[in-house]
Amino acid sequence: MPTPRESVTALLIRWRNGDQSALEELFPIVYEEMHALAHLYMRGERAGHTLQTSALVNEAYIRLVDHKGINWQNRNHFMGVAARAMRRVLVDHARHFLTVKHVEKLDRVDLEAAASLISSERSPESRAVQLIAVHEALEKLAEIDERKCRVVELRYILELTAKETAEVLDISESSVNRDWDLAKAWLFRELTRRAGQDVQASAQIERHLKEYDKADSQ
Amino acid sequence: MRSHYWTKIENVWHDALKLPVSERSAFVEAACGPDQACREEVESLLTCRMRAESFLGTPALAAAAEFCEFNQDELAAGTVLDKYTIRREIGSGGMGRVYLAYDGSLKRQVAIKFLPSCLEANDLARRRLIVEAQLLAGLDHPNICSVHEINQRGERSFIAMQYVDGATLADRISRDRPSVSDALDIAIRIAEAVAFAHSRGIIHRDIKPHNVIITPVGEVKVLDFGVAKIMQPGAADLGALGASDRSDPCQFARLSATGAIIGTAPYMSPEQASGGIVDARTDLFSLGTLLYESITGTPPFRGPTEAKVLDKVRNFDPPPPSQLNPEVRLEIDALVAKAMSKDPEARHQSAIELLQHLQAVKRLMTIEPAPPASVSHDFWTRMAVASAALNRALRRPQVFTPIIALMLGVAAWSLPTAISELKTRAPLSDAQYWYDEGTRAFRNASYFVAGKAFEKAVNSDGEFALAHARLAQAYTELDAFDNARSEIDRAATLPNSPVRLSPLDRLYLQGIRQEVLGELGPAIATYKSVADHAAAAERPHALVYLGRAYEKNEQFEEAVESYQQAAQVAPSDAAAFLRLGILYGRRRSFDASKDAFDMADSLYGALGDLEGATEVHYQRGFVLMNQLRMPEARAQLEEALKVSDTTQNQYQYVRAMFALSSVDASQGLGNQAQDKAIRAIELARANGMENEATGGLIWLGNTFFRQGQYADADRSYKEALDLARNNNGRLNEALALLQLGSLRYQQGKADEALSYLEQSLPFLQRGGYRAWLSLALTLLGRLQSQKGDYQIALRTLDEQLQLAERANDQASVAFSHAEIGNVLAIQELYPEALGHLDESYHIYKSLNVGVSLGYASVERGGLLWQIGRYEEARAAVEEAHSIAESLQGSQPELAASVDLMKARLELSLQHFKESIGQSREAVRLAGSQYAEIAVRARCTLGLALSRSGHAREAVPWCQQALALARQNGDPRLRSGATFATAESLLASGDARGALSTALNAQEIFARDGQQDSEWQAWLIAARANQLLAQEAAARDCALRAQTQLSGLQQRWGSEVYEHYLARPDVQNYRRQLNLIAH
Repeated sequence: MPTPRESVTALLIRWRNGDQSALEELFPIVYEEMHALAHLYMRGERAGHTLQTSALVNEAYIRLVDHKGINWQNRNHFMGVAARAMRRVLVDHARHFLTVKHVEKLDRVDLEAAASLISSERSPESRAVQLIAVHEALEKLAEIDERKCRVVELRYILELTAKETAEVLDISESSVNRDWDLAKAWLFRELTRRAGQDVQASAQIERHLKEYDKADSQ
Repeated sequence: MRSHYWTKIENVWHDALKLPVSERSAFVEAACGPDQACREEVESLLTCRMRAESFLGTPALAAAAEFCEFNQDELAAGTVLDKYTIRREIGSGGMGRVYLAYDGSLKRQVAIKFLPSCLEANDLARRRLIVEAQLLAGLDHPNICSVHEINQRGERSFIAMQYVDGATLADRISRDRPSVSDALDIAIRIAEAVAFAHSRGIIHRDIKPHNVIITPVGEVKVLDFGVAKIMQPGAADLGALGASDRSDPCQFARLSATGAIIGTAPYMSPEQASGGIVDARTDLFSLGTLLYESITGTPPFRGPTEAKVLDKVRNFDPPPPSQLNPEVRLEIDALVAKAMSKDPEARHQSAIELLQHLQAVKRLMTIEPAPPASVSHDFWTRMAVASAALNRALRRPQVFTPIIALMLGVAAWSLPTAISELKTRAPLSDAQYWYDEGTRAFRNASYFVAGKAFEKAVNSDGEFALAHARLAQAYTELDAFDNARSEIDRAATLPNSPVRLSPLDRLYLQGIRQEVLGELGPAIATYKSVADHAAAAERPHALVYLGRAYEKNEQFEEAVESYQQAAQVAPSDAAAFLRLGILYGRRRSFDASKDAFDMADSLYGALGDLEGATEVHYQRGFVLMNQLRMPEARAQLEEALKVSDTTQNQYQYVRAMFALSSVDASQGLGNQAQDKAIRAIELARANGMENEATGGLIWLGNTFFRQGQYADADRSYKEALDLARNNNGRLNEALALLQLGSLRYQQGKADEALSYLEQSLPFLQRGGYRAWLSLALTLLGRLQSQKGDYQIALRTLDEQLQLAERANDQASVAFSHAEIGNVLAIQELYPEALGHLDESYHIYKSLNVGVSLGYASVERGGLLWQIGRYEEARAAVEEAHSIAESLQGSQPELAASVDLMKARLELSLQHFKESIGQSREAVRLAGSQYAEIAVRARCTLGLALSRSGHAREAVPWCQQALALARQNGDPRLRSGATFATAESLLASGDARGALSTALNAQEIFARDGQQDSEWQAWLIAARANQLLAQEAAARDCALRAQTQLSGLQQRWGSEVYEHYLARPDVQNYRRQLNLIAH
């Protein structure tokens, strides 16, 4: 019987050779691993310890993938799957959190919560809402520009450096930086739009009120 | 797919960004031209870019951590948790909230820590916690805050631990900094705690002043081993945890392998900070930073942000403590510099080593209170002074230059020995030389050479305990158990030997002793600890010893991992690659095996190590033999023979010769094989290699055995047995007995076979030689079942099955199921037998083992037709047929079995012509070599002839079968042949002969519980009686037949019984029965 390590390696190779079904088998294994890692991370985070996701993922790779004759292509493919799996883990986690918190439907999120999509506020709720919103915006981004979505996954979710991201995607570092820059702006705009017309409306009303004030005072 | 539109937007955006902000708008307008949408898109993105600067600045996982612990309940004072009453919250510790509580049952205060709820989101996490708590509860040391238990409150887990009242070292440093001498004392206490934890396989990973409490009476307690993880770098897969057992130590390691990246930034080791693989030496670094802070009041690495701190940890050399506190001596500078080396290899290599260094410095301070600048002729001090002067000269007083740090490190290394007053000496130089030679040979699997070298080592220095132990280890490999034991005892009586024994050597000594005494579990644990504590240069060696111990314990996966680690630590360690090649070959990963051998070969080549290179050829040969690539195997082995001839290494020469003999034998060159074996045996004897000679005699016996030269085989085995007994070679003795048993079994001498096998069994069981034991049990099971002791046979086979299951050896599991199925089939318990054979069939199928799959198919087919499932039976037999075909005549017995089974199936369907054809073919293929098939094929032929009206021809075939069966001695063959004879006699009109023969058969069937055969025998008897006009007797026999027949319904269950009744031959029999009964 192959060990999980052998099977992950074999699946990576199959996937690399174009077998899409291998990814389906691979994903749950990596998801489970990412799930464990995320929890471990959070535990450390709560205790004020510093952890680096990229290092955790590297460890996962070392554990899951057979090392004889390290194949960088395998590693890069693994990172790709790991990023997707970690993204799913975090989104699941955020959804679970919001369910428990009875923030059931994102559509019905109130103005405050909507604003938190783009705020840098650190309340747990706003973090969770933002995470899910970024996830959904990424889906849209992937339709327009798949590579940028991957760059965001690797940089934002796995916390890889630009250099590491470049290696994984086999593109230049400057391309990574450019993609990251544009993707961030694009996602930010997407989230701003998502934040809803209420936000825009309220801003508009505010502007109008100010103008009235000005007019009044004149 | 990117659209052109998007590409255009992207290009405009990038070009715009190259311009100053003020010019961008105009540029975008010009670049987009009339495309209004494009312009708006780029403009809006550019605007957002400004606002998005800090957007996604918090990494996703850190953001997620914010909503991790949202529902942590706060407990009011007075809340009762099991036997604890909460008093108050005392802080938030490494794993969550901490409360002071009172344990009413033991009347003591305890600290209670709740674990964040998200940690228990799944079973895996929960198990991890439990395991960790169990681990920590075992950590009982005066300087460690102990864990009492893990308990549950509803869904939440909490840990109850010792409550320690006092201030943290962090408080102490900020309020009232300890003196240098006190700081050293505290560091010594912490180092003791850490050394103790390391010896239990636990790394703290977060040693820092906040985690050390100093009680009002001055006790030192290290807190928060909560983040401790078992030391086991890289040995893990969380994915596989699901089914494993909690008590399994391997899983233990796996559970804890994640989480190496825990720590607190200013005290983290560089490898922690960069997320590398962390081992015990990380704690030594942190302890260095702790000591640094204790004596200077400031942590060595500081910065405005965590990232800056981590960067410093990785790249910055802090000023030596003496610069910040003039009371600090240069020796302490050196100690701290060494502990805080960026490269773990340059640090102390174990907590014990650091502890000794601390103690040495402390002692030096008491002996020589003067500051170091004063006159000292001690080399080390001069070195330190010199380097300090060099520092000043270089005008870079705040930096340890790497060279100086290195010099200090080297100097400090020699300190403990320099100061130590132990009156020990090094081994005599000759002894050391032979010792080194021996270990080298041993690691290259040249055990005989190693043994000789160790003998020389102990001869030239009798007090060299480790050499005695190594000699014992080599003797064990050479099957000289008694010699091994006396050597290991000698090693044990030398604990106070004047020959120096480092703590690591002591551990080795212990591990070897356990290994030699066959305590493999403890030996593995000890070697693990050696590997963890060994210095860099020794670590790969320790890992190879660990791997060997795993191999002996048949934990091959773990062995592979050890060797992989060794190869990783020391990529030039040829022995690790050699072992990997062997093991990969064993698990049939032939490509990996080849790669590893290539690696070993080139490394030995680079070293000019011809013996190593020979070993690679030899082992390659074996793996190629496994692949049945005989010509290539021969080439490798001949190379091994040639090189060992030039190096005059008789041991390797003899072994290569034996291996070549195997190649000859498997290529059908029996005589050549025997010649080579005989030559090798002579050489072995002439050179005192009794173990090899004995093994060779057994091997020679096997070649005779295979060629049917039983007398010669017998002689070889007996010679081997004598030689083994003379030399106390226990394993070889057991093997010779086993082979003699198997020879007697083949010769049909059941009682002698049983006696030999039973003699071999105890040693094989005790030594855990699974493969041999399994063979012995198989033969025993068959012999017991032949004697009709079915229950005993089933017990024996069950032992074998369990043995195989424990080792997760699927092929053996399948084999055991097949054997059990056969014993049940003999008793005609077809449904139960079928269950086991199905199991066996499916495993063989998944393993894709041709021959065995063929036999499993045939046997399944045999059961299936018996219960009327002809279609499936035919499919099974066809599968076996095509397997036999694919093996191109190399398995005549399988081919014969297939024909026999077809013949019996057709007979059951009353297709007599086909049955006759097939059984004639089976008779031909069986020849005289395959007795069982020869007998059964003749019986089938006889029955088919007599039932199709050729009774006169049938009788002689049946009588031949009976004669052959008598010769063979298997009672079941005899009863089958007797029955066939009875039926053919009846058909030929010899009613009297038929009656007595049928009753004869019936008696044996009844004794063996063969109810299916028995009712048929009664039927023949009834018909014979009828022919003899003995109506009453006929009716009586018919009634008995009827009773036995209906009994089958209960025995097999109604469904199987219904199918059985539908068999054409059974229907025919029943018609005959009805004619008599009514």
